[in-house]
Amino acid sequence: MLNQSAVEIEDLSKTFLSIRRRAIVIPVERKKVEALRSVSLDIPKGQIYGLLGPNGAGKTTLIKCLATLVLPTSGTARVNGYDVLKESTYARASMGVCQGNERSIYWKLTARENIIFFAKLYRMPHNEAKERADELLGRMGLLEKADEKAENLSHGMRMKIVFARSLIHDPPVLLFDEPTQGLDPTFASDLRSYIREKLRDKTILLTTHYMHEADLLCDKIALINEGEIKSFGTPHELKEGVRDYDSLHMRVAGIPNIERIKTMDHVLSATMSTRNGHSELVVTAANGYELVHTLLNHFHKIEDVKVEHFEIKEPSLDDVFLQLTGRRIED
Amino acid sequence: MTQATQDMEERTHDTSEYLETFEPRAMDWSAARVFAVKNLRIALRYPANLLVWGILPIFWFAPFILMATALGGATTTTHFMEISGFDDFIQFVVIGWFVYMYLDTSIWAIGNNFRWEQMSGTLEPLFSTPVPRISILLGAAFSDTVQGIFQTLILLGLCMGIFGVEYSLVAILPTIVILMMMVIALYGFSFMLAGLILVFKDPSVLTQLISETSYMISPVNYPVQALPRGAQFLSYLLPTTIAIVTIREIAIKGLVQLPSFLMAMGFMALLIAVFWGMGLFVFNRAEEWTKKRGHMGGF
Repeated sequence: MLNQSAVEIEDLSKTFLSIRRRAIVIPVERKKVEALRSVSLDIPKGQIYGLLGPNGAGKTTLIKCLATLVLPTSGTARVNGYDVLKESTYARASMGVCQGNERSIYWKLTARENIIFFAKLYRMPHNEAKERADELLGRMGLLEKADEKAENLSHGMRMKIVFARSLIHDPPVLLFDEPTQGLDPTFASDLRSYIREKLRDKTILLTTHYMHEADLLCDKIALINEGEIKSFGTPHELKEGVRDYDSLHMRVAGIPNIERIKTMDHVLSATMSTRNGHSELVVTAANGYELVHTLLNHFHKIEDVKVEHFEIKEPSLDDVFLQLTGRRIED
Repeated sequence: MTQATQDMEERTHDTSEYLETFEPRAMDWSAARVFAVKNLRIALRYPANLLVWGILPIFWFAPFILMATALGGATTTTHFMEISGFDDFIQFVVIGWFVYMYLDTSIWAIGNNFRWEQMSGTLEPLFSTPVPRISILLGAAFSDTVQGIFQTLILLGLCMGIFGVEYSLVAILPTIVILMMMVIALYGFSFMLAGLILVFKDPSVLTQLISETSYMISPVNYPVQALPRGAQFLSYLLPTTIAIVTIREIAIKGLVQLPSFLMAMGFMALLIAVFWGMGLFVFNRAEEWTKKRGHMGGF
């Protein structure tokens, strides 16, 4: 049977050894960090898969293993049918990698020079490289800035160059590692539209910790935490998985006792963030409507806490993540 | 048919214009050239650096010339003449520095270049391309050589103007041959240092140590005969020593003695093989080490 997966990951694990303590310069105590634990994932051709998880969940390590920048401890991975360890050159030729780091271009070169340089590394003749650079810069709305040195461009523009660079050789597989991180909303929205509209024929693995981005772009999402894939499915399937629970979002003036709320009947999980004396609470419960009464009564009795806003929301991917891991993606 | 072969045959690969013609290469000369041109383009955007590095060595060796002049008179001493065979100390030292600058460049430049790519965040994108590492290393080396040639010519021109030294241009071809062989041997040395910098990150202490050690045992300001016997052996393990000794003979005396020149070339060829073998081995192991630890783009 023909294999139609563009990215195949099987039991991929990565353990880093870091030095916990040194005696002068000699390491005397080492610590094992399991960045990936038996990750398996198949991405069919032409699909956009998202890896959603908080910082340190293992998203970047997985991308780097596929990009042949990190050697896995065990397991296998294939990109476009090529083993990333045994056929790494073919695998690299088959993929475009965009890491969310605006510094990964040459700041002393112009936007066009940056793209042409990488195009030539992909063996493109000069004229073709120039044409391709102009085409990509045009698509990114950067043609007018093509002769500006990257150091004179804004963060968003530099990120667009990094993004354009990953498309130079028209690879069938694209690895996007937090491509919109730190971008202002307009630039981020431009890039998302581009991915959604212009790259539909590509196979994309996208890491992000923006839930709405994953929700908007991805055909399927893997929720990853502490190196393990906790759940996997379409955004709809994932949300349906926690459909039995309601998510109550509440804004109050004052700082309520979150530990007390966690011990209330029906409460499954509760988190709180506080800013300028106001608190945002997210409480999940088997029956949110019953909890509403309990919570309102509870706050009614506390003098220095006033409820400002109260709503029962549809579960979000963040709620799914919270349910599975006990932590929020933004944590 | 084995299961593995069956798996390979059943696996399909999406293609593109680029992938249709793509074949891995052991060495991609075009990529090396493109990388070198990129480095030179960036270097030219800091023009003052090029000029300063051409002038700086004069400040380094001027104190030696002043000290030698104070001790032995304007040009030379009998003892210096006896052990070195040369009668003009300044002419002697300038050649030493002219050649040593290539070693200094090879110690600092490629490693620092990789460090710079690492700090800039461009090393990982470079290593995500299907370009062989050797091409990137050679590209960095080519650009350093071009800068090195430019700087040594500034140095030589200034010294001829300031100190009035003159050299024989009769045997320019053998000089170029031996210089080129030395530069090629030093590339291997640079690859090794680039590998060490991938591992140790901060190049300053390591590079300084290697730089000072090689400077100490290189006959830049003194004849190689001035070194203790063991140190002389170590000194001849550096391609610069062979080049300094040979070029002094050619450029100062204007003589090319074929047997000793051929012997110098033979030694140099041996050093090229040893340095390249060692350099590529160390670099490849270092790359694997950093990939295992996930430190490729780390600081």
